[in-house]
Amino acid sequence: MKSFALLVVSGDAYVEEITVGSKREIETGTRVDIFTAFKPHPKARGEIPYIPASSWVGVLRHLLENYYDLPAQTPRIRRGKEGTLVAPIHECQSPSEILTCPVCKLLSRRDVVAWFDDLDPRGEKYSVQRGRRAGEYIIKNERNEIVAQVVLKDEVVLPRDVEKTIISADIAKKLGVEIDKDITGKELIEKGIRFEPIPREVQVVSGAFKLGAKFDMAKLSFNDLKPFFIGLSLLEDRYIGRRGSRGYGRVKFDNIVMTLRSKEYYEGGDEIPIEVDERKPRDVLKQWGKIRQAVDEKLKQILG
Amino acid sequence: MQTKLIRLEFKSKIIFQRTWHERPWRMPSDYLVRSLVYAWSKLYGDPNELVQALIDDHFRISSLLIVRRGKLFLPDYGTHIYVTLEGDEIIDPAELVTELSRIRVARDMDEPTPFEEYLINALKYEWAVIVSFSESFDLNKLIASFRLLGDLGIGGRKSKGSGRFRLTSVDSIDRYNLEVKCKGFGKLISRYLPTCKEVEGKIYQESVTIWYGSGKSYSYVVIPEGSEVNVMDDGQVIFVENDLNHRVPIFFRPLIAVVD
Repeated sequence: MKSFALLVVSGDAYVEEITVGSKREIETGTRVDIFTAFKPHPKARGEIPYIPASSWVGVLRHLLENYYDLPAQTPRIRRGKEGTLVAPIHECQSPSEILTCPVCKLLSRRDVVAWFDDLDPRGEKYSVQRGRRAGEYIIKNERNEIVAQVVLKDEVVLPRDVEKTIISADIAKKLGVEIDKDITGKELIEKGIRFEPIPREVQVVSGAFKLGAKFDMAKLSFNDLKPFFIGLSLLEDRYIGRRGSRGYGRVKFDNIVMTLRSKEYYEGGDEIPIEVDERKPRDVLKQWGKIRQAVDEKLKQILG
Repeated sequence: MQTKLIRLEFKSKIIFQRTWHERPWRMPSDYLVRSLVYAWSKLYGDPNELVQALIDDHFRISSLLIVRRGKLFLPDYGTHIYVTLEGDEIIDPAELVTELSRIRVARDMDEPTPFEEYLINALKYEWAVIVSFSESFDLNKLIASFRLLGDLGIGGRKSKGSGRFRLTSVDSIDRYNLEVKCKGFGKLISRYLPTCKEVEGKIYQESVTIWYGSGKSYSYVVIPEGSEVNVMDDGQVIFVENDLNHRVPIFFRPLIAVVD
């Protein structure tokens, strides 16, 4: 009989001013243009802010593709404002390619071998309080610690692609420009009208969030997980969400703990801890050989 | 047969893709069985013991139910709502389901295909399933499989955090004022494909399509949850082969609830 073991990597993700969200229906009385992502929680009154796994793993994957210099050979079609955009990504096609690619082996297998959790605020039970300003929230956990804070930031949207912006004759007339057909933004500028930056309000979230990832060790070796820790290190130097080049969306990982869950765990037993002192992704990578040995020894007990 | 209620607390939303004839708003019994077979085979190497229990009729399971304020809300296909067995309270699933428009990647340079994903906001309520099993069935293995399934997720986009849940308790159904049976007259709480041609009662019909690869599917017309039927047989478990050459059981055995 095949044996089973999941390696669980958990820890803290300290995030600073991240906006992972979208434009939603604006609540009455607020002026927020882009909301951070919220979700209900069984042990919270109100919704809690979170960072969806699709967001942080998507960035992690993109950084790894660059790190390993993998070719973007698969066309990815996504919806753009003016039709569809072709944005190629790296994706190995054949099973043999997948099993030799450091990224696809972990993230693109038909038989899924890695599962990533949403980053929820640290704790198990939350109270969500509205702040004094519109769109502002404070999230406390069961120990009354403030674990997340959502605040509003002002930003401006610069007018881009003025050649592609179409101004209707009616709008132009309101601006004092008499025309009988629609014109482009560039033509409007030539007629002496200036395009101004548009101010908007965006929610950003900061706080201590829970990192969670699980790996099927019946199908992976510990060395296959190295790209994941490299990805976490890369994420610390980059950002999640919007406006990263302006200092937003920073994330740091700490208090990393690794445990193994075997069949016995799911039948009511305990997790098997991997006893290592390294708590940050870069420290894990520095002591990779030592940690691999510790994991392999425990895995041997489970998988034989 | 013994009966238990397994309570679940979701930690993230459940995602369904359009493999249905309608906007998905529930998780039917046959879908749960396929997920459990996956989890069981991961834990125990193969699903044979569970599959044999399905064939020998040692185990039946309901669709996913909602628990609110100590009451069970059962899916009713005819009205597309969750309703108590007495019919005195309802939950409209419209408050749980959001539609997401997406475009499928054109890997072989074909045109991109728009499709919809449906997001069930399962965090809003507590959920449960009713299981009925014989003495020879190993309930502990089923509970272990539920725990693993909760860790890995159910529905679509599991690797990116969707469909996570926690098994909170395994209870007796005594305090829910209902009795669960395999035969006789009652309200269906699982999807049922009878072996006989005629079934008595107030019957809904649902066309079910099981996809097993791009453009490949099996279709059945079943009696869905909420139908009030006089069940005389044991329904069916059908096996289909998916594109990974796995024999997948499609569980269409009836489980009915009556007021206790």
